[in-house]
Amino acid sequence: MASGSLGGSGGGGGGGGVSGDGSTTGSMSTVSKEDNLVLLSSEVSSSSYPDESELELGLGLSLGCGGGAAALKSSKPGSWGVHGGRILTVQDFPPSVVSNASSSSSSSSPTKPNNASCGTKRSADSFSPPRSGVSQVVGWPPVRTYRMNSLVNQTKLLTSEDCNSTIVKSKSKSIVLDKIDGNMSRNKNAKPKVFPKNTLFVKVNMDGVPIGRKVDLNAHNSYEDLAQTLDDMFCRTSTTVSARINSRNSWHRWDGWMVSYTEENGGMREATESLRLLNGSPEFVLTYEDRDGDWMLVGDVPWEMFISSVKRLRIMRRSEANGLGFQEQNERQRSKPIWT
Amino acid sequence: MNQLWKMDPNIKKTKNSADSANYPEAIQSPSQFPDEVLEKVLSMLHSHKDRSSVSLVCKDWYNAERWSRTKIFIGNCYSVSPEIVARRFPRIKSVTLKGKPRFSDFNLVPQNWGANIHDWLVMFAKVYPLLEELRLKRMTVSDESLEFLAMSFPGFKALSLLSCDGFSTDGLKSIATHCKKLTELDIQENGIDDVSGSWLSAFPDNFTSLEILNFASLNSEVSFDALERLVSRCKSLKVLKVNKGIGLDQLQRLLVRAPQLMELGTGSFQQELMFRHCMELENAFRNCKNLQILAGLWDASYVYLHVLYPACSSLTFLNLSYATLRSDEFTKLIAHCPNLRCLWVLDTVEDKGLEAVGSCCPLLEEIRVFPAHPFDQDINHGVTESGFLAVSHGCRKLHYVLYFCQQMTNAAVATIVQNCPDFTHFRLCIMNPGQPDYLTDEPMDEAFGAVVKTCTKLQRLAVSGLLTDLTFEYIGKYAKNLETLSVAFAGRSDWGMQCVLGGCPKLRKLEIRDCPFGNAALLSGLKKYESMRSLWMSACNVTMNGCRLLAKEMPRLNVEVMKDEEDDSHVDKVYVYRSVAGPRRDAPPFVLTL
Repeated sequence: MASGSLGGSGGGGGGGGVSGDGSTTGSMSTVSKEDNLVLLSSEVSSSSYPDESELELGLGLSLGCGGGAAALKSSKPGSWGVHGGRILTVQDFPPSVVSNASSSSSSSSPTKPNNASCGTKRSADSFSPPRSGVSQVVGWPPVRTYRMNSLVNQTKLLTSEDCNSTIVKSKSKSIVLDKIDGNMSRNKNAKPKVFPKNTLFVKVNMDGVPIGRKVDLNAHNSYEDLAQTLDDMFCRTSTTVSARINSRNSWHRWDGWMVSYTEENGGMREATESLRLLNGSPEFVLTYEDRDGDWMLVGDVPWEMFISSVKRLRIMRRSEANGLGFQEQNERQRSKPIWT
Repeated sequence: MNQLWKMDPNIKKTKNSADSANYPEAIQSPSQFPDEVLEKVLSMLHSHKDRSSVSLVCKDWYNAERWSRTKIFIGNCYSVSPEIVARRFPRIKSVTLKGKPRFSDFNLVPQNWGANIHDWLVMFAKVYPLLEELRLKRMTVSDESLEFLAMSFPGFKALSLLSCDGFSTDGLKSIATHCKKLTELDIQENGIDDVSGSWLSAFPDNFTSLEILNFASLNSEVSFDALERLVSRCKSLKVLKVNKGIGLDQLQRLLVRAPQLMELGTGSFQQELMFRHCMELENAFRNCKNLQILAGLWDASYVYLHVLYPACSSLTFLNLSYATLRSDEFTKLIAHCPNLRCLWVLDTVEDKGLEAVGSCCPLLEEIRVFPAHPFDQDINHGVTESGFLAVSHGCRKLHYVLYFCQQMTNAAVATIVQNCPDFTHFRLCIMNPGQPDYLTDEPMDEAFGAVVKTCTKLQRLAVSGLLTDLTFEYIGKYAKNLETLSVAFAGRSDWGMQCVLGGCPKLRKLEIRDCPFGNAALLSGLKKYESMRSLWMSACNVTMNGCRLLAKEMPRLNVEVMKDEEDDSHVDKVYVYRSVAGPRRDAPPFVLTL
C-alpha cells in the first residue's frame, strides 16, 4: 500500500513493470553518464527497491532515465506504454542528487513482468519534492504519453537556446560550465535521444585521406562532442590534427579547428575570434556543405541550426579554406599555402 | 413503404419482439415485404445506435438489419467475441474496435493487459475477405498481425491506429508493400518501436490511391524523395500529416505537389530559411485553396508563422498543441483565423492569448488547452480562469472544452456556463489534485453544480479540484444526458458515487481514480452496470469481497481485478464491463476475473 502519496489513497497506480531486459542496464549507464535530466518515473515506481530510501532516490533516477531510453531502444514493441507516466524535470531535484544518480547502476533485476501493481508508492516515499502534489502522482495530470514526451523535447529545446546565449555572456567558468552541462544534457534531450532510432548520418571526408567516414550527428550534442569524435576517427600525428582532452572541468581544445573553448578565453568562441588560436601548426579546418550546396565553416551557428542544414562534412586543409564562399570546384586543387 | 416508416426506429423497444399487441403494423409489414426491400431500406441507416434499435423491433427486422450492416463499431473489444460477431453479421466491410480502458493512456494499465487484435483478424480473414477498413483504438497490434492483415484482404483500404501499441515500423512496411488499394494510413500517438523510416519507401511506384496519410507521430526520418514522389502521384491525397523530420523547404516542395490538400500536418517549423524560400513557402500556402485543417508546427518559430497567413482565413481547425508560442506571437497568428471552429493550443499562449481567441474567433466550438509544463507548479505559467472566461465571452457557440489550468474559481465556471450553456463536453483539469477555489478556498462543488444545472446537453464531464460529495449529488440529480464521467482525487464518501449511479440515466462510462469510494458505492451500481459499457476504479477503497459479491450477483458482467501485490484484500484496480462473451480467455496472470 502506498504511503506518503498525495491524497493518501493508494498512490494512484502506475505504468507497467519495468520493460526489463538485461540490456536495460547497459543502455542506462550510457544515458545517465550523459547527465540525462529527463527521468521517467514509471521506472522509478515500478522497480522493487524496498527500503533504502536514500539510495532509492539515486537509483530511481538513473533507473528511470535509463529505463526510459532503454525501453525505447531495445525492448520489444509494446513497452512504450510502460514509461512516461510522469517525467521528473531538473527542477524536481537539486543538482547534487542528479549527479550522484548518474553513476549509479540500474541495480536489481526488473520486476516480474506481470506485476500489476505499478504505483507510485516508492517514489512517493523516497523524497518530498519542492512542489506540491502533482509531481508525485503517476498518470497525472492526464496527458497522453506521446504528448508528454513531445513536450519534454520541446521545452528542452527552448531552454537550450537560452543556455547558448548565457554561455557567451558569462565570464565565470563554473557558472558557464554548469549551464553548459545543462545545455549538453538538454541538447541531448532536445535531439531525439529519447528516440534513439532517429539518426543523422553524414559523410565526412578529410583532405589527403582516400577513405571517407560517416558520423551520426544526432549522437552528438555540441561542436565539442563532434570534434572529439572526428578526432578519434581521423586520428593523426600531433603535427597535423591534435586534440587535447583536459580535465573534465575544461573544454578540450582541438588545434586546427575553428571553434574551441579554453579556460583563458572564458566562453564559446565566435569563429572569427578563434582564428587567432590557430597559429602554430594548424593545418585543417572543419567545414560543411549546407542544404543550398554552399560550403560553410563549422561553428558559426547554434548547434541546432547546424544540424538542420548540414549535408556533409569536410576536414579541409587550411590552404584550401581561404575565407568563406569557396566553391566545390576548388576542392581538389592545392593552392599555395598562405599560412606558414 | 408507408407502413415501414410508421415504425420509428427510435422508439424504445423491449427485447420481446413478439409483442404484437403494441406494434400490429410491424407484424403485418414484414410479410408484405421481401427481405431484400427491407434490407435495401435499412442499408441507408448508418448510425449504429439506430441500427441497434432497428434490430430490436422483431425477428425479421433483426435479420434484415444484420444482413445489411456493413460497418461495425465495438466500443469494448471484450464485450463480444469474434465468433459472435461473425455469426451475426455476414457482410462487414468496416470494423472499429476499442480495447484498453482509457486510463491506459496515462499508464494506469499494466503491460500485456490484452486487447490483442490478432484473433479478430483471423476471424475476419475467414468471414470477411472483402474487409476494407479497420480502425483501432487502444489495441495491441503486432507486426505479424499487420502483415497478416496486409496479405489477407486484397481490397483493404483504410487503416487507422490510435493510441495502439505492440508494432513497429516494420509492420507498416507490410501494409505499404501489399495493400494495393490503400486509401488511408493514419498512425497516431502509438507506442511503437520506431525502427526506421524505410516503410514509406515500400509503397510501390504504381501505387496511387492514397487519400489520407498521417505519420506525424513517428520519429524516424523517411526518405523525402520517396515521400515527394508518393505525394506527386497520389492525386486524390486530401490529408497529409508529416513528421518532425520534414523541414520547411521540404514542406514547400510537398505543398507545390499537393495544392488540393484539405488537411495538413507540417513537420518541424524551425529551419533556417532564406528569404526567397520563405516567399516560396508562403506562396505554396496561398495556393492551397482547400486547406481547412492545420496541425504539426513543431518548434514553431514565430519568424516563419507569417507563411501560414494566406491559408489561415479558410481554416476551421488549427492544432497548435505542439507549438510553444508565446501570447504575443500567438495573438498575431490567431487574428488571421476568423473562421476557426476548433482550436488546440498549449498554455504558453497564456490568458492573453485566449483573450485574443475570444476576440477573433466568434465561430469557435471547441477549444483544448494543453499544459506545456504539467509538473511545474509555478503559477506564472499557463492559463487561469480568466483565459477561459475570455473565450466563453467571445465564443458563444463553444460546446467542447478541455482545459488544463493551475487555478480556477467557482464564480468563473458559473459565468462561463452562463455564457455558453450548450456544452456537450466539459473537461476541466485543475492540475494540482484536490485544489480548492483559489479565491474563496472552498471546494469546487458549485462550479460543477453550475455546469450540470445549466448545460442540459452535457454528454461528457471530467471533474477536478477539491470536491466533496455535493458535486456528485449535483451530477446525479441534473446530468440527465451524461454518458461519460471521469473522476480523480474527489469525493468524501461512498455517497458521492452512489449519487452518480443512482442518477445519470444515460451513463455509459465511469472512470474513477484515487477517490474514497468503497464496496458500498461499488455495489450500489449493481443494476446499472449492465446498461453501461464499463466502470473503472483504481486506488479507491474497494476490496476483494466487494468485487466478488458484484461478480456473483451479476453473472453477465466481467469483474476484472488487478490486485495490490502486498495486500491481498485491497483491490488496486477493478474494471467492470458487460459482455456477451463471458470471461475473457486471454487474461494475463495479474488480472483476476471473478
